Amino acid sequence: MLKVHIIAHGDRKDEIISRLHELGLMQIKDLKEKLETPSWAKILREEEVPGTSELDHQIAGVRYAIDFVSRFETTTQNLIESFFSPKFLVNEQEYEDAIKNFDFNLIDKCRELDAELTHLKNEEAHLYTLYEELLPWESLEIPLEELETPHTVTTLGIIPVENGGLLHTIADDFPCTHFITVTETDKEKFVAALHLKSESEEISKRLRAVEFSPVSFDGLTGYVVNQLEHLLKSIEETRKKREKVEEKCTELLKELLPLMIMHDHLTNMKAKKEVKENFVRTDRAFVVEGWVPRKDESALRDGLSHIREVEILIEEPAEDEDVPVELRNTGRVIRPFELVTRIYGLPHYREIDPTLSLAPFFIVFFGLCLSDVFYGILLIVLSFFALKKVKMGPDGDLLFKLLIIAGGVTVVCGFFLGGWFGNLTEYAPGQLAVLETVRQKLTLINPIENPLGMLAIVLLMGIVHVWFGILIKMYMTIRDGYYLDAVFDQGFWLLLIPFGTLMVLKTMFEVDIPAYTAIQYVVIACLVGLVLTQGRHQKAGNIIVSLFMKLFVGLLSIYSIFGYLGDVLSYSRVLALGLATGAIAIVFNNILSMIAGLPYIGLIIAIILFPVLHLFNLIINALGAFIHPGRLQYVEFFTKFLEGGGEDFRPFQFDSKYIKVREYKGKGG
Amino acid sequence: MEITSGLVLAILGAALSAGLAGTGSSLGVGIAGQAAAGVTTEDPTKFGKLLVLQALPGTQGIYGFIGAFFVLNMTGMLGGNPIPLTIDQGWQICNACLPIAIAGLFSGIYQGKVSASGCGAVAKRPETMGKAVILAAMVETYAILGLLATILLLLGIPL
Repeated sequence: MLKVHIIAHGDRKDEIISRLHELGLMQIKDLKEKLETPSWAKILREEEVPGTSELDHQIAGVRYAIDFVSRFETTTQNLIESFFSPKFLVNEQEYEDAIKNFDFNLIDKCRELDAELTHLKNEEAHLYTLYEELLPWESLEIPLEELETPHTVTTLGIIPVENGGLLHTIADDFPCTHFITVTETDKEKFVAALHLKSESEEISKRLRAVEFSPVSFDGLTGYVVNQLEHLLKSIEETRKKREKVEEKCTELLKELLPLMIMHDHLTNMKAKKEVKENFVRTDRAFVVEGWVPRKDESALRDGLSHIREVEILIEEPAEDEDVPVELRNTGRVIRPFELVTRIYGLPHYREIDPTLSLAPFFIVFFGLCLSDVFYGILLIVLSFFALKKVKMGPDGDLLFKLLIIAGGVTVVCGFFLGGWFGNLTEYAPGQLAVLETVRQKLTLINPIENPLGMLAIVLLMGIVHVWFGILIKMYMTIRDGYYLDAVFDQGFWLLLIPFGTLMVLKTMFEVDIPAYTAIQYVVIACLVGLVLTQGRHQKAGNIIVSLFMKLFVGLLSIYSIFGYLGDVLSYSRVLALGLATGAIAIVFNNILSMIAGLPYIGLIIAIILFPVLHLFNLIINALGAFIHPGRLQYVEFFTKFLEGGGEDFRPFQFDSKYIKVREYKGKGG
Repeated sequence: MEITSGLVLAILGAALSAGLAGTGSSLGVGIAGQAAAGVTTEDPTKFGKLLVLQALPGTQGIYGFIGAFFVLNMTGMLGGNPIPLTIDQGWQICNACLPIAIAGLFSGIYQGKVSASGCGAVAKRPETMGKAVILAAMVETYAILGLLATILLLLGIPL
């Protein structure tokens, strides 16, 4: 990264911003903090930023329209696509056309349709409720407007079935009262109570006492039967109206892409306005400061060369500055591994990019976790298919490229560990039985028969991995010129770990180690070295206290052995995951062979089930085979040399949510 | 075929291994699933990511199953010719199953809780997906160690 200052005349501002936006090479830094220094504040002041409220309003409108229109989309993204939320690819011509022909009335149209739709939906719901309420009264033989006459009233109401008998007592007390049961369900009776107007008050009191709950249909006239028919018709009409509106909305789907283009266009326009917040200015000139990758320096200069009255100053970043980080692994094989690094986060600018060093370990651990020839082949085929057929963002492409490499390593590990769809070859009939012999011959170690041997192998790999991490730290220390620290802090451990391992092998497992006495001396020398040097930063006023503290901290540092021991034991997960894949495959094969033994259809069912079961096993274990080797990098490996916390390099460029413009102004979007 | 008391104890061990670890997983997957479903209602496009997070606490069940598989394999029950185990041998096998049974049960539940929080993280910032997965995978370490202990113990039992 290099630090760039661009100083230019105020008239050139918009031109320069547009050009920088097109180039997309430079990350722009906020300069306002400079104004806090009085000497700068004397000559510089804040750049005036034009208001963006109109743009905000337009963006909000377009976003609303996109949300509204996408409600009518019937096709949904498939699972893999939704995982990566890909962008729509448009070419430059389509982009320009969409912007030129965009009509903001579209948004108002969406609003109108939305309102109409809501209204019709409410209307429909309302009519339907009324219909349901009216339905029990279908056989009522009194027109609704005649429920109330000059002297009588008919109250419609619902009464629990068990209270139905009590109505008689009311009829007995008020002779001019008549009850008609219109319908009856298991729980309720729908009753019309005819009575004199003059007796209304007492009767309604009595009715309440028997839990008679009155209903009323104000405003409706005629017979209920006719009303119901009428309502059905209205519902149907409203539904048709709604469908027509919905059709209109569905037609708008063709405007979705232009809307998305417009959205991204507007947000970029806003970004171009807002970027000025980071500038500072004098009376006539203005200053932009930012970062550019070293390799793009000349491209930036060339890109701005045709603009007059511009001064571009490029310098090395200062020691203590926070420089953004861009991972740069150009190799086609290595680049997918950036994904693993990025899940953890970026390294700090002055640390090294761990991608290259984690790649071999990650991929071998992945292979050992899955360790099946055919699962590897399947993984390659499926990933290849996904790469060709599924739309994915750049991250998705990287992931499947990584899985193709991982599949290849899995095949190799499968040969060594004897996984061929688990133990499928054991069931091979007739001529194919030779495959089983081949499998046995190729198998170096079978983790299910010899888990201890496999455990030793993965722990040994763990020791190498941890050791390598310390080696990288040593390289970084030497690179920064701290030679003694490199020897004291890393050198001793680099010797202690391998030789200590040999000592453990000798004492605990009675392995024959040549030149054992020499090894013992090296280990003792390293331990003494650690005790003497690790406390060297301790300071105290009194020389005796100081010496004591140095020694004490040095002794304490030996305790790190247990830390390293824990780190190495953590690699046993590779064995466990490998066992998981193998054991489940074996059980599936066992079950399948039992099913295949059933008469008649057994074989067919087994053949249908075979891909389902093994695909399930592959997916479940591939997930684990990615996550756990990943964790081994982050927790066991990175901690030896990496602090992380690097800030992503975000150049000022065309940034989009929905679309990707192919060859956007000669720059890849 | 003779069923001895020893064999009964070995079956108990296999059952505990698959059963308890499976319980842990189902609780964990359940907890994570509830959170995932909540996020899905807000943003259905995140379903793929959430599915991965929900699946994470499912491995304990698999590890428990592998423990049971090793027991069935070494006692010959898988092939239909069980070895007549003595009561001592039966107890040894049963006890050897406890590490994955217990570690699977509890780590499954807690991994489910971390996954559920991960769903929350993904809801707000989808780019934290990888980190959420790794955080949940940290819990799984102890189920893996439990499985290893079970397997190593089983291998040490003379039959």
